[in-house]
Amino acid sequence: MERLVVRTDLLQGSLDLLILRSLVLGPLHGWGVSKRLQELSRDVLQINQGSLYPALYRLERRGWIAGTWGTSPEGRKIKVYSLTTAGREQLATEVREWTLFSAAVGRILAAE
Amino acid sequence: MNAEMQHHLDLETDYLVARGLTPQEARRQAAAVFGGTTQALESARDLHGFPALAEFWRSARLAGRTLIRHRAFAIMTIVTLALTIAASTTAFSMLDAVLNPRLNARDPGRLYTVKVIPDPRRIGRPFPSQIERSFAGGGATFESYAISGPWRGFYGDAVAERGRKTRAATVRSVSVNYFPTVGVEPLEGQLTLPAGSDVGSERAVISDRLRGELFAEGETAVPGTILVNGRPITVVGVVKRYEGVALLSDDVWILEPRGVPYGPWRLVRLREHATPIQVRSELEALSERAASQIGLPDLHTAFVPTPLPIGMSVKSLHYALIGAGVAVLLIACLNLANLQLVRAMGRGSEMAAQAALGATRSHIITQLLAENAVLVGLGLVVALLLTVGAAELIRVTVPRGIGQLIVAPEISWRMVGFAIAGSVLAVLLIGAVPAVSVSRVDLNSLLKNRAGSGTSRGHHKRYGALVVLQIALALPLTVGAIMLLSFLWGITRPSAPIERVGYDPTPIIRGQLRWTRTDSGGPISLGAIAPRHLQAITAIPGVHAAALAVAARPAGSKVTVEDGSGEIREVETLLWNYQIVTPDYFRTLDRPIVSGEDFPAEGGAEATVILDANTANTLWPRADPIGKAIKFGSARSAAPWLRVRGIVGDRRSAKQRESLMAAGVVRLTGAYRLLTGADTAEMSIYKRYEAELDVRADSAPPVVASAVRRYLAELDDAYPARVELLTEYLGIPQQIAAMRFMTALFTAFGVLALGLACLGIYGIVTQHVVDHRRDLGIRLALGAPPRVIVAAVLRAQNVFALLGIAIGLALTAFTAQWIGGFVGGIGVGEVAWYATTCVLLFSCAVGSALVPAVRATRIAPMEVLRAD
Repeated sequence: MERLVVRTDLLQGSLDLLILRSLVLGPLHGWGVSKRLQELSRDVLQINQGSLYPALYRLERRGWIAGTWGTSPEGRKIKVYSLTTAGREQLATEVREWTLFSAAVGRILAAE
Repeated sequence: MNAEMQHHLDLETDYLVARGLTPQEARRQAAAVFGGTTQALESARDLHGFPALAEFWRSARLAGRTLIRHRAFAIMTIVTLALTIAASTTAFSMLDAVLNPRLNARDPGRLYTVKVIPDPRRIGRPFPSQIERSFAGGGATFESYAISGPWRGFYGDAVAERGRKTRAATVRSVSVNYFPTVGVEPLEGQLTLPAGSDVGSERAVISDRLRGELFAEGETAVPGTILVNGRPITVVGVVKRYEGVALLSDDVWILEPRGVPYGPWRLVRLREHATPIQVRSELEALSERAASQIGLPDLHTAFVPTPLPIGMSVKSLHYALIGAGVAVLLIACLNLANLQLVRAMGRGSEMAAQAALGATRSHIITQLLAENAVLVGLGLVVALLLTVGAAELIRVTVPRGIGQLIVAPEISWRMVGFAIAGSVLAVLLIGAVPAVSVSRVDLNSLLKNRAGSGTSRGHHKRYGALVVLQIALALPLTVGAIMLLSFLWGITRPSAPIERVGYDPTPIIRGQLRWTRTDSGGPISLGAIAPRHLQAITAIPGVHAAALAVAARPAGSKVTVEDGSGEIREVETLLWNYQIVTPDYFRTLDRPIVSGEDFPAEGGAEATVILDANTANTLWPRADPIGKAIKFGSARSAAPWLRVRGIVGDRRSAKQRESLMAAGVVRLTGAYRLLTGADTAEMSIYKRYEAELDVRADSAPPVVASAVRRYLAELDDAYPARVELLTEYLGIPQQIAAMRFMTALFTAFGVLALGLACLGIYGIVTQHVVDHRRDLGIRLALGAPPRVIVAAVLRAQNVFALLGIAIGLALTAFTAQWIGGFVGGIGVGEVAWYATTCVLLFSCAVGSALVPAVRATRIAPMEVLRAD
């Protein structure tokens, strides 16, 4: 299957949407977010960490996700991110906008 | 952040291993997918936390490394900043201690003074002391009520002594609940007595300052005995003295177990949540109840509480001190800004390289500011340590004569706040100007030229402006210091006291001899009593002579004279007193009789008069007054006609006398009438019947003073008189100590300012020489003599120096008033001081410039040209 590596410039706005969506099912650490996005996209999307972490910090600063430090089962210090109420509202907005946008793009591409 | 990404990499590796890859291959692939860790870290860092702060921290670390490389520069900057921040912070903390004295009392906000407004119908009759005594136990709205007043009719400056140590001290009587009301803790002993206890000698609480002066270190002051105005007092406790708090700025508080009957100062401590209005109404209700109990049912007295004032008013000296501190700090900042500018220009290529690699202008400014912040931060730490040291130094050296002006600085958070504010100002001044100007420089031209030489006309002007400002700020400080030094020199010359009083005050002891009314209530015979006391005092070992003087006012404020031809003239003498003196008066003071003769040693029945030259000239302008008749009263008054016996002179130098005459001191000054047996004490204008006592000591005046004090204390129970050396009575040692202290303070500021300004000029001229090395080299090669080179170098800086002096003179016109205001007697507008200071400052400026100028003549032309 063809694989797409998500770069910063490619999906600037949509990466935020994807991260927020991945956290709807429950809190995850950074690697977990990238893996969940990979699974949900059935291995099509693979997030470059150079884009992932800046995006995580940006979302955290905006108050859409909250990061808390914890300890992994192996005893490692890890940071776990969860969706905030503001994040849920933002996700709803972004999903609506994306649906509109992708439908529009689809119509353009399907036009004869 | 790094740990989080590392964890990510590990998890990815594990995931890939689980999928069948070898660990090495898994790691490689994980890293490949991840992208550059550093890059990710960098872009994440920009979003994480406060980017400016992180950037600043990075810059500060870089700055630290840069400064370690330039150690000499860093140390010089830190020392300069530390000295100047410490100087201005010390000045501030002195002002702060004046404004906000730290009163270590229980809840001082509940302390109120009470003004008692007597019933108008009873004015003139004493207020019954039983009324206030009934308040002592407190009430519903106040905890306690204390009274203080004069001690045995005496209030204010007294003389405290112990063994051979003698100190001026202020004394007051206080009720035994005084200190519990104030709510301070004793440093030693106790601050109260059981009410009603009345045994043996009087007991008192003394201040820590007096304790330190009369008792040795380690010696216990409680119980100890001191003499206050010759009377023995037992010390029961020691309390901290607070200069700015009226209640606690004395030295001796005599505890009165029987109450202070006519104490004019009342203090009340409110209960928690009580208001002054509630206290007022309760006191008035209690007063009326107590008044009706003692048979005065209609007595309505008002008791008005007002919050206890804490802190002193700000005087011109404080502005002068703060001004001096800030000026020195500004000079230092300008100096360092200049130095930074030069350095920054020198580092132009480094900046250019940074800019070429993508550093923005804000990056470069941040880096330069960070460098300064590191320097100033270190300077601040050293400055705070220095300030604590300076505060301690001032604490032990501040003379008591200026206690009302300067108190020992206090270490407080406000002081630290001021130091930090000063440092922030320093960072901005030192860093911002050079940083902005460097970051504006055309980097291309800098890179093309050799390492930013800063030779452009614009930069030269900027250096010049900084030098002009430094000199302008240094001038007022130097003028102030020179004015104070000259004043100090004037008052410390051995002849200064003689010039001030007209005779040598050193061996003279002055005190007051006081009488109470005789039992019959009639006047006492001064003429009969005075010789008896003088005889007893002259018998004290070491006494050479003694005399009494009583001030008297002419009847109808007029003096009448007869000019020899029978013509009678009246002279107005408003607010003027003549003196009635005992025969040895002039012999005691050692004042020469320049014409006629002295009073006969044995006294006499005839009241004759001796005048000083001024008075004689005023009364008989062109005639010899000896033998003429004078009357201390109007022509019609019953005052007797008296004969002028002699003219008394003084021990001033002829030059000093002339300058006094030139100053227009020709008016009625001294007129002395011999005391006769018929004089009674009622002729004194003072209700207390007091006469001034002057004693001339043969040897050891302090020992003689102590003996005279004891004689007077035993003699008169009602008024413990103050007796002290005339020099101390006139405040000469106190004035000298105070002036010495202030002069030292301002001279330190002045020298610091002058030194910094010189350093600044030295720096700029050196830079000027470096910049013009090539021109100077060529001129030398063409045969220019060294003096032409020196003149060329000096010309540029002289313009700046003169401009600085001109601006400085304008500033001085404002600031000299502040200094002139507290030295008194200095002609603020005296051109001589300004001229001297300008010449001094200009010489210093030329001197500082001369070193690099002379060095310029040693430039080897060949080397310069070859290097080019």
